[in-house]
Amino acid sequence: MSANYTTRRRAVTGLRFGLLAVALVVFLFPFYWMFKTSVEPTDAVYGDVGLLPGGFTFTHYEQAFSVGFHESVINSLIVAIGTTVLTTVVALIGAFSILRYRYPGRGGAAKLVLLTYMFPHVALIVPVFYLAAQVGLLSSPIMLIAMHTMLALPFCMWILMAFLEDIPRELEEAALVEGASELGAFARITVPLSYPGIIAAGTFAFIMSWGEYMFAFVLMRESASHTVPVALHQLLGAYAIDWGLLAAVSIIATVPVLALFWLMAKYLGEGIAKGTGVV
Amino acid sequence: MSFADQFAFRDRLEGIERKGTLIGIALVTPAVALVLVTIVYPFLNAVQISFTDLGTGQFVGLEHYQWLVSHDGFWTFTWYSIVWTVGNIVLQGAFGIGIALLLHEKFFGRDAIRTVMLVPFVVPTAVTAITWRWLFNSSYGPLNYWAVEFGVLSGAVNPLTETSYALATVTLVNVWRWTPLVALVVFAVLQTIPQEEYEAARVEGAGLLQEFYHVTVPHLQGSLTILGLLGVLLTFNIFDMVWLLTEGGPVGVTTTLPVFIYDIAFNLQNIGRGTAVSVVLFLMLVAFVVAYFQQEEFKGGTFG
Repeated sequence: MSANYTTRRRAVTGLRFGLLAVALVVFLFPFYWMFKTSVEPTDAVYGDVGLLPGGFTFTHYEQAFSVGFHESVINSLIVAIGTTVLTTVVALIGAFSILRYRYPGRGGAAKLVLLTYMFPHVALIVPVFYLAAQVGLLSSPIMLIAMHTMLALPFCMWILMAFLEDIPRELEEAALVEGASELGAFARITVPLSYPGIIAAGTFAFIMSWGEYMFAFVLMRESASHTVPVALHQLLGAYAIDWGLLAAVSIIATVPVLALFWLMAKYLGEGIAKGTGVV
Repeated sequence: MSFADQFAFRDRLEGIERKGTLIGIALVTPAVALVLVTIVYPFLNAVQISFTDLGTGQFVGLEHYQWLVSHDGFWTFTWYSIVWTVGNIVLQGAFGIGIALLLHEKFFGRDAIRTVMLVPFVVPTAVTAITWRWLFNSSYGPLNYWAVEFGVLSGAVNPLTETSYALATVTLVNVWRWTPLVALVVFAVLQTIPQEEYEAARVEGAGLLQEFYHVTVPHLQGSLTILGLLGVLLTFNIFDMVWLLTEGGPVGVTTTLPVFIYDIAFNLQNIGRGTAVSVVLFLMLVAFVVAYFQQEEFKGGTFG
């Protein structure tokens, strides 16, 4: 039985690597294909289905510039950075408040914020559009930053609460004994000690905001205010779709978040594990 | 610590208690205010608008809702939403658990694979949608070219523009995007299963399948019930992937309720009816959550 058993286990190991390789190809091939298309001359885009690029050119990237795609990149940077800063600050002080203070309504406030991710956000597009139109915030980054912060807040607060729980209370109390004010102790002890959580929350908020399409599409009506995902979709609606250009702008849209993800993967992984509480 | 220090410390702590209430409330206020401004107020406003004719500002009672239930499209689109949601949950669950099991045993490079697998999730949905539209392109896309070349298809077909395949294709692309995340969450749950239980099973001569049924499955059940609930809620509300791939077409076969909301409110410019569908969608999900928690598993359990 033992020999048979070992052979079987070995076969299973081989099968495991085979299937994982297939999965990786399935998940990564589409992006490789997009990259290949983005660097090919136009005649190769519409004629060549080989696995390697049929030639090499930056034409499509230059064209992305000439159609003004960089303006949407700037818009997206404003929204994503605004969202990241706002979410991180609001989530951090909120998490600190819920974990360290006792006051009436504390449990209710925690539930209200943390459970919003279960709310059907699509049910908000009509009233939020209506609200923005009434207060003159259509096509303004302010309303979109508020919506994106709302989307990122519950998860970021989960992450930060998990990190804050790990900071020994004694350290904060020691600072208080030495004469620091409460907010001083928070700023000098708690914030520096929870920086892995802050990085994880910030990274999550940035990636979410950069890629968010629904609220950006509904709220950013003027073309000068379009964020990257909305601008991408606009190019797709053009009379004659230029796939080389679309591939190039797709790569431009992907690189910032992919780079950020790559740099912060360690923190993000730890944050997701802690925030979801399954590890 | 001297007596004086201890005294000061006590004083400090009492200080926290007293000032704490105000500081605590002040620190949580931005988060609560944000939720009130971005969710609670707009949604209550939507409920109000759904009973109003925005043109005249008059209360019209259930008019928008009556239009909705008598509109054939509404029931069809609800059905598409259900098909979309069930298809997504079943396939993401199956593939996600499968991949998690493949990753379960330690091997060199496993952490790298876990990181790389998150790429589809990090990439903006708009890029994903454009990429798949290009891959499916009937004239220049590689999938059609290879399918014809290897004799799988007799002629090129773009499944996103075919009424019989569009909904299934949109579902599959969404499954492609979410499966890695499901896999990683299930993987994290698998890691919490004590190794001894597998060893004990092996000592008793259990094969891989028996190991799976007697050790893995019982440990997964609790997490999967929660994941399933969240998955249904998130998937039912997805607008971006469907809209970016097909805009609800061809001839409406991929119009799920979120796309329907957009169509009525923005393309047909009927805010009143749009909010009525939004409210109904919200109520459907509340009903679903209530029904879900009525299940046997929750009775007397941690969530009961």
